[in-house]
Amino acid sequence: MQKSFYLFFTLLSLAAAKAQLNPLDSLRKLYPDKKAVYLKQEVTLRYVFKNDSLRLLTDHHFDKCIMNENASLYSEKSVYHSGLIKLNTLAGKTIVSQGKKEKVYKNIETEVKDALEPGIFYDDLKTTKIQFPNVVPGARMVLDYQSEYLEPTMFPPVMLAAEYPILESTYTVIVPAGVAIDYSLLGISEKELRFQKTNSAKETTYQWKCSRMKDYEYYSNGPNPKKYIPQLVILLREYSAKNIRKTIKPGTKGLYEWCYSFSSKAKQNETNLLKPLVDSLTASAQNEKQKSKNIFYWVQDNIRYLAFEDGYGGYIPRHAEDIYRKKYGDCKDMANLITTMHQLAGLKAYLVWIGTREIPYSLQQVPLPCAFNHMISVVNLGNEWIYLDATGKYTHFGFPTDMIQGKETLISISKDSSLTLQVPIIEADRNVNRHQLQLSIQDNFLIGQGKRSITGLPKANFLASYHFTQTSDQNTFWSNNLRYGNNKCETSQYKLLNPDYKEEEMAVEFSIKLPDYILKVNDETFVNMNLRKDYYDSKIEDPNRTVPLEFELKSTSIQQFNLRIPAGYSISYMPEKASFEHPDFSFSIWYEKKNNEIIYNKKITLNTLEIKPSQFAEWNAMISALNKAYKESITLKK
Amino acid sequence: MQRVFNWGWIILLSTIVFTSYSQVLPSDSLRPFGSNLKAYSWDKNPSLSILSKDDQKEDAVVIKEVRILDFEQNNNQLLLNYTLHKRVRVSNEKAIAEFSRVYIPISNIQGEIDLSVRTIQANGKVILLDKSKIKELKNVEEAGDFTIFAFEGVEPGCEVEYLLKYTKPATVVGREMLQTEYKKLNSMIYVEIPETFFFQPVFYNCNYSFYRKEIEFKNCFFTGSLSVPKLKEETMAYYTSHLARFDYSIKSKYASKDMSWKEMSKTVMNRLLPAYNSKIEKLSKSLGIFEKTGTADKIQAIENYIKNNIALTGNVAEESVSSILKNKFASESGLIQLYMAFFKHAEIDYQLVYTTDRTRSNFDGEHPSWFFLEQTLFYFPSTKHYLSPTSIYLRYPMFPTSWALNQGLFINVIQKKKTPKDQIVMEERLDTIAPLSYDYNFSKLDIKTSFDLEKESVRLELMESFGGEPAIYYQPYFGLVEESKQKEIINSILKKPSEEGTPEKGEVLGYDRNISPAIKPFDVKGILNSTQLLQRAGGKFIFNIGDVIGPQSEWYADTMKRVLPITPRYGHFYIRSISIEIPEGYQVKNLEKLIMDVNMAYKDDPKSCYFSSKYVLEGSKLKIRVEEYYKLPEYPASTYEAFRKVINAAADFNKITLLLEKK
Repeated sequence: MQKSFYLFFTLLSLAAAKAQLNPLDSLRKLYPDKKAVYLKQEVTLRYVFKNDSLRLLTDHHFDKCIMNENASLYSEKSVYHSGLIKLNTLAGKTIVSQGKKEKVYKNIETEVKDALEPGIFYDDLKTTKIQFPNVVPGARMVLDYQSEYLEPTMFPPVMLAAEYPILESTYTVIVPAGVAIDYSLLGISEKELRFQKTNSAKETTYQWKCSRMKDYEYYSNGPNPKKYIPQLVILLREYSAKNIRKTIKPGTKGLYEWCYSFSSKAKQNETNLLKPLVDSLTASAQNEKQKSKNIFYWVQDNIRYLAFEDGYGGYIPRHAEDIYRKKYGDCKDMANLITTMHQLAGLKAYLVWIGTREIPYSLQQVPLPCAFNHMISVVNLGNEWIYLDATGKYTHFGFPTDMIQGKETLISISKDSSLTLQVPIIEADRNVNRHQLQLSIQDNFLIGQGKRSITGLPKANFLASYHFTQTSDQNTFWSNNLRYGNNKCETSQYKLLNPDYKEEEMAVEFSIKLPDYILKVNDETFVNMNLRKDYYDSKIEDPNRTVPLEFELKSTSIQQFNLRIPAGYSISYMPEKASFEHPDFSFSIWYEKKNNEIIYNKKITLNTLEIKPSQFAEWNAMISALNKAYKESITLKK
Repeated sequence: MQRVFNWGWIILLSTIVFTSYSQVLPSDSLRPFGSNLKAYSWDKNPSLSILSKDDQKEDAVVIKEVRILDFEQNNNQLLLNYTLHKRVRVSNEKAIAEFSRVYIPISNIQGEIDLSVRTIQANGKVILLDKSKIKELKNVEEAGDFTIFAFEGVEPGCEVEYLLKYTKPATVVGREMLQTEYKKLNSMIYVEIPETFFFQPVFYNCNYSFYRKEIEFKNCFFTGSLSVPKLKEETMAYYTSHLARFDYSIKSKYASKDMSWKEMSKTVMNRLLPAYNSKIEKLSKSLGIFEKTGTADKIQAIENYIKNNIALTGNVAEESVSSILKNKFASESGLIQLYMAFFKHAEIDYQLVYTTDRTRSNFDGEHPSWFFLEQTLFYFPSTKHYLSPTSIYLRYPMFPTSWALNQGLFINVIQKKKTPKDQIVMEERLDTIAPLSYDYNFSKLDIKTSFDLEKESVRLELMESFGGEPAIYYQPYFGLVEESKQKEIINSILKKPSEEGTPEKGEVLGYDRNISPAIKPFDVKGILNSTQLLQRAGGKFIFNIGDVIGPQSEWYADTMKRVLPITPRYGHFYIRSISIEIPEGYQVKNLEKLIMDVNMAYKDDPKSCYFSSKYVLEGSKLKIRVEEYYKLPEYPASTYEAFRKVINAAADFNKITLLLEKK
C-alpha cells in the first residue's frame, strides 16, 4: 500500500546573497526566541524525459543558520530516499563567519542506513544521514541534493513553511515543451507570494517567491500540521515526446486511472482454495448481509496485519490466495482478499483507495497518490455501502475504523468507472463508554459490584489493547482500566462478556473495594460521588493557540453510581444538578434519591472531532463547570 | 546425523520434575550432534509438540533451541560456524505479534546465510517459507545489518521454527543469552574448538555448567538439555543483567600473554594516550583553563567547552585530536582522547575507568573480558568524583546512575604536560564505582497555602528546588528550548498539586545550563490558583491537602513474589514544608491524619527508607513537614514488602483530606 513518505521540511534554497552583517546578530534581533532560521530555501522541479518515460527531478537547497548556544546538537540532517524516489546527488558544507571573512568546511560525513518505521515490517525506505562539521552558534549549514521521482505523480505538495522561520524562499517549476501542468495553493493566497511565469520555445517556468515565512506550530493533540501548513500543489496534466503521449484527466478521473493501473495487476489467478472456503462461510447465511459478515469476520479472525512493501510492491495488492495461505498481509492485501471472497460469494464488493485522517487533503484539492495511504474494501448491499477495514481486528461489522471516519473514498467499480463516497462519522450515541457501580459503605470502605461496558469504535480500541496484554499482566490491565475514586481502588473477580468483534457491546463485571476515599468525621460522612473525573485537565492553556484540538472519535460517557445509605443515616446534603450545553460538547451531572439509595448520574457528550480555536473559550468554560461539579460531595448524617 | 529428537522425550519428562534451572545430560551424549556439525538439520517430518496443561496456558513456550558454536581454523584465521535452531509454540495473539517476525543481526558474516523457516500448524500441516521472502536490512540506526522474515500461516496453537547457519570470523569474546521472559523446555548449547585454543566460559545468574571432553584434537563442551524458567520484568528493577547467560573468551594456546586486566589496560592506553598538542595548549589558554585554581573548576571548564562545541557522532575515518578540533565532531573514542589531551595539558590527575551498564550486565572483576570495557568514565582522585565524557546531558559530577554501584577497571595515568608517550606511567586496579550520595539528589518543596472560602479556591505559593537526578527531567533541556516551551515546563511543575489549576508568575531562579544540578539545584517558583483542592460540603469545607505534594507512585496491587532487587538507581529524598493559613473563625478537624511514620530498616540504619509526616499548630498557622527518604540506590528483593510500605505511605498521604468547619 502506498505510504506517506517523510520528506522532511528540508526544502532547500540557493545561497545567492551573502549576509553583509554578522548573520547571527541580525537574526537574533529578528527572531529572539528561535533556535535556528532558514536563510534560504529553494526547491526547483524539472520534468525530464528519460528512456521514453517522464521523470521529475527535484533540486533542493537549504541554508540554515543555527542560533542556539549548543549548536552542535543541530549538526545532523537526514535525507530520505527509496526504490521509487532516488537520491542522485548530495553535497553539504558549513559556513562560519569570521568578521568580514567566511570559512567554508566541506568535509561532511555521510552514512546510508535502512530506515525502520514503526508499524512497517519491511520496506525499501533508506536515509542518508549527514554530519556537518564545525557547527557553532551562527554557523550556516548548507545542503544541496537532488531527488528523482520515477513516478512524477508521486511528488507530494511542496511545504511552504518549516519547523523554523524562512527568510527567503523560492519555488520553481520548469516545464519543457510537450508537458503541461496545473497548480494550486493550499492555506495561502497568491497575493502573499510573488508569482512569475515566463515562456520560451523550449520551456515554461513558474516561480513563486516568499519572504519571512513563519514557522508552523505543532501540538501533539492537534491535527497533522499538513492540515494548516501552506502548500503548493503541482498537478501534471499531460506530456508528450517522441514515443509517448499521456493525458492525465483532471480531478479523481486521472487519479483513478493511476490507481487502477496498480490494483488491476492484483487479479486473482486461482480460486481453488478460496472458493470452498467462501462456500462454507456463506452456506448457512440467511441473507447477503450475513454472508458479508461471515466473510469479514473470518478475515478478522485468521489474517494478521504485517506491512511488507518495496518499490511498486507498495502499490500492488498481492494475490488473494497468497494472503490466505500466508495468513498475513498489509491493508491492501487484506482489502483484496475480502473483495475477492465477496465476489466469489456473488456480492458486489470493490477495492477502495482512501487516506486516513492523518492526511488532510480532499481529493478535490490534491487529486494525487499522496492523498491515499490506506486501502479497504466496500460492499454494496441494496442502498447501503458498508466499509470493511480488516486492519481493525476487533471492529464490529458495519463500523469503519476510527482513522478513516469522514474521509473520501475512491471506489474501484471497473476499469473505466469509479465512485467517490464519504465514510460516515460514527455518532456519539453509538460510541458509548458506560460505568455502573452498586456500592455500600462498610467501615471506611466503599464496596460493591461494578460493570463497565463499551460500544462502537472505543470498544474495538479497548479490545485491541486487552488482547495485546500478556496473560500474566492482565490483572494490571484491569486495575488500570477499572479505576474509580483513587489509585487504591481494588477490583477483582473479573468476568468478561463478548470479548471480540461479534457483538456491538463488550462488558466486564467485577467486584470493587475502595479504601481511604470517604471522609468520616464524628457523625458525618462525606462521599464525593464523582468517582471518575474525566476531562478535568483538558483546559486549553495557551491563549495564542491557533491549532484546533483533535479527537479520534465522537463519544458519550455515561456513569451511574448507586450508593446505599447506611442504616441510621440520612442525607443532609445532596448537590444540585450541574450542566453545560453546547451543540458540540455538553455534560450533565445530577443526583437522585430513590428508596434508600442515592444515585449519581453523569453524561458527557462529545459531538465533534475537532474543537476549533473559535470554540476554545466555550470549551474551557465547560471544563471549568465540570471541575466545579467534581468538587461536590454528598453529606450523610447519623 | 544423529537424531537428538529420540531422547528428547526422556529429557522432556525429566525436566518436568525440576522446577527451576535444571540440566540433564544423557550418558552417551558428548558428541550429541555427530562429528559433522555443518550437516545439522531439523526433523524432516515434524509434528506438533505435546505440552503439559500448564505450558499450554503460557502465551508462548520455546519448545526447543539448539545452538552450535563450531570453531574452525582456516589458514591463519579462526572462524565460527554458528548454528541456531529454534522452535516456539505460540498460543495467543500477543505471542503471535511477538514471534511472527524475526530480526537476525548479521554483521560481519562471511558468505551467505543458510536459513530455513517453517510453520507447523495446529492441524499438523507444515508451511515452508519461500527463501525469496527473506529480506535484508543494511546499517540500521546504531544496530548494523539484519536478515528479517515473517512466518506464514501463523495461528494460535501453532509452532514456528527456523534453522539458521552462518560463518563469521571468531571474536575474542562472545556472549550467549540463555534466558528470556518465555519458558524454554529444551535448550542446548554445544561448542567445539580446536585444542590449540582455550575456550573459557563463565555462566551468570544460574548454576548451569558445561560438560567437557577432548575428542579428536578438539575441545568439546555441551550443556546437555537445559530447562530454563522464564524471568519476567519487574517494576524498578534491572532486568537483562539478571538473565541467565554465559560469556566466553578465546585464547590461542600459543599466545604469550594471558588475558589480564593489565594487558587490556596497556592495549587501550596505547591507542588513546595523547601526545603534546600545541592546538590544545593554545585553546586551553584562550579558555582560561590554566588560570583556574581548583581542579574542579578546570575540569568543568574543559567539559563545558567540549560538551557545548563538539558533536558526538558515529565512527569517523582518520580521526585525531587535531581533526576533531577542526571538524567539531568526534566519535566516542575520539572524544575520550580529546578529554585526555586537555587533562594532560592542564596537568589534572585522572583515572580512566571502564565499566558496564548494570541494566545489561555487571562488571566481573574475576574474569577479565573485553565485554566489561563497555562504558568509559573519568575519575579524579583529588575530588573523588566522576565525569562521563559521552553523556551529552550530564555534567560533572553526575554520571549515568546505572554505571554506579558497579566494579570498574581504573587506570591511573601519571604524566606531566610534556611527558612523552613512552614514558607515561600507568597503574591499573579494580575498584567499586561509588554512586553520588543521596544528599545530592532531592526535591525540596515549600508551599504557602491560603484559602478564599467565598470562591472555594486555594492559592499556593510554591518554591521547588530540584537537586541532582530529579532535576535531570528539566535542567539540561531548559536552556535549549524556546521561551514558550520553557513556560510549559515551568507550568507543568507548578501544576503538580492540581492539573486544572491556573499557574502564574512562574520563573526559574539563577539558571545556568553549564552547571550540574548536583552543584546548583534547579529552582522553580510561582503561584498556583486551584478551584479543585477545596470543596464545600454542606456548611463545611473539605481540603485535599494530600494532593498538594503532587501525585505519588503507588505499589498497591498485590504482585507475585518479588524476584529481582529493587533498584531506584540513586539514593534520594523529598522534603515538603507546607504552611496553611487557616481562615478566621475556622478550625481544622481530623489533624491526627497528618501524623504518619513508616520506616524500613536496612543493615545498620533503622531508617534506610522512611516516610514521615508531622504537624504543628501555631495559632491560625498550620505547619506540616513531610519527609521521604530512600538512601541507597539498590535494595535486595527480601526488603520488598517493607519498601512497598514506604512507597505506599507517600501514596496514602495523597488521600488525606482535612475538614474545615466553623469554630
